[in-house]
Amino acid sequence: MLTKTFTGSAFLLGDHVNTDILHPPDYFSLKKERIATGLSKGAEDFFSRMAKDDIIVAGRNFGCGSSRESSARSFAYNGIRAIVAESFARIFFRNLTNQGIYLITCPGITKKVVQGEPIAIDLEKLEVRSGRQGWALPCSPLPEYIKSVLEKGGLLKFLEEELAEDI
Amino acid sequence: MKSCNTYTHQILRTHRTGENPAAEGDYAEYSLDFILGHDATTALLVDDFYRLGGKIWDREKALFTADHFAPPANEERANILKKFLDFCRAQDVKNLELFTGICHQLLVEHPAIVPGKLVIGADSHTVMAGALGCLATGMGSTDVLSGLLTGRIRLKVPECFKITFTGTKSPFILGKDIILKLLADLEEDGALYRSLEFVDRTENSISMDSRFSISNMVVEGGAKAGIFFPDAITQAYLEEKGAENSARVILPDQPVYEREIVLDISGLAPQVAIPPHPSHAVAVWDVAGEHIDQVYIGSCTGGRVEDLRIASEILKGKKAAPYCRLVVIPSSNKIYLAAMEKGYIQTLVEAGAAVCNPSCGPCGKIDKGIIAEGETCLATSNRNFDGRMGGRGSRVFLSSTATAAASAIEGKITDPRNYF
Repeated sequence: MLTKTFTGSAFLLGDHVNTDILHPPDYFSLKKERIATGLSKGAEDFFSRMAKDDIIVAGRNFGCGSSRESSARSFAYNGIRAIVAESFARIFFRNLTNQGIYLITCPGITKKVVQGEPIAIDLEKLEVRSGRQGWALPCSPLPEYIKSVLEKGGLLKFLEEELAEDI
Repeated sequence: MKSCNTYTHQILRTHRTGENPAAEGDYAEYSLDFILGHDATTALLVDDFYRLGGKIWDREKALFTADHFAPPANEERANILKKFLDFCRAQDVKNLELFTGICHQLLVEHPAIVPGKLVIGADSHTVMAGALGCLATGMGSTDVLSGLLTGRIRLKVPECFKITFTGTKSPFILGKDIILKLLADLEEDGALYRSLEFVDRTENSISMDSRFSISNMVVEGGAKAGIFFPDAITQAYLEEKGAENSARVILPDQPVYEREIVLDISGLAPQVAIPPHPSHAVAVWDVAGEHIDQVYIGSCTGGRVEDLRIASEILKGKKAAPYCRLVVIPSSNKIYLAAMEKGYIQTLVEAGAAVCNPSCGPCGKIDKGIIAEGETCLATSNRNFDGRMGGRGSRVFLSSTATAAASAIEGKITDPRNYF
């Protein structure tokens, strides 16, 4: 089932936040705990300042840099389900989608939202809106393939079903 | 979509698995010609791979390289490498390279990589193979897992930029200077999701080694691919490596691009990218005199024969400055041997270089050559994010090998033209 709405408080990040900041290469590991611990350890450890229901609202080109999937998995292992940004880096977008995380592109969002503001992502109306100020901004529709991966909860489950159908 | 009928689109069209063209803005399925995986990111997919069936669709069409932990420096890395090697052995892979070079260099050296191929790799710098006229792009482990199992991948048709290089290249200018200048012009995300198509119209031609550096770094501007139109330079390289010349290359008929850029490289100054992003490039004189603790010549961007030749020409009979460490890592064994035969390695060792075996080295804080908190490295590699090569507050500047070699002599960022 595709999740239709996400609500939480906006946690703002800047433009061009790269994968080395989000998950430094020395946290690359095959161990789940080690991967989970590495989230945001490259910068000022913003993750430790995030509350449980916060939604990251990032600027342009979020997640630029490496293809290390450990970065994407660290978001999933820490229970992050959706992120909003002005735009996402290409590989990062695929990697997080493959983990079942909803990446919502919303041009202009960083000019509207303030730190801590309650927001709702509404995938039926295709908008991100404020729970306080009354603004609403259109977000880009998710392509069909991305929707079907998210519906299954990630690429592994999607593949599992696809391979079963092939037989 | 503004662009149509581009070289990128032609390659996609010939690899489409369904009959219908891809719907605009959506993903469609394509059949793959080749897949690249290295020790680190391949080890990450092994467990899920076995759970989902566990057989590579075509063992001839994948290259696996142990280059990140090559050889491993601690127990955890040894365990990761073991997992990778056990996987390769169990799958009876046909192309395994163990400690013989960096995956991207080994990929382009492989005879199967010829113009027109569709290639994915579990590393962002897979785009480097675009220099040979392939559509090559980086992905995460799970996407690569799906490719290995099925031989197919879903892709979105990208918008394309045409970038034409004109003018005459000066001897002190390398591909690295050209791509740093282009990234600076495009800015951090100026090529996001785009495929860049390069046409070399320079008077004296950009060398294959330099083209590899250019294609390697397109991902730093966000690009999905960076493809050189195959020409005489490409053909000569393919013949030299003994490639089968069987690629079906259909050059596009009247392509339309979202954007066309002409870059005249005649008067181009040597470029240096200031941290924390590769697109923050300036002319070398703007940062000349900046103190450096280490020079790193190597990586998939700057450790080829052309690089080692220029470094040895500049460093011949000279020494790296006192306290300036000089680390040199050739990109592959083939390059290492060629550089030995030419005497470049001897010259570099005499100049004080610590020459390590072909591998990823200190880039990505992986292996030997890591710098301390507060230190600065001038590197020929491709990324200068904060802490990319060491502790907090450590900095990496990026340059060509010519600039790096000249800077090693002086222990500070130096215009290489002083040494030509």
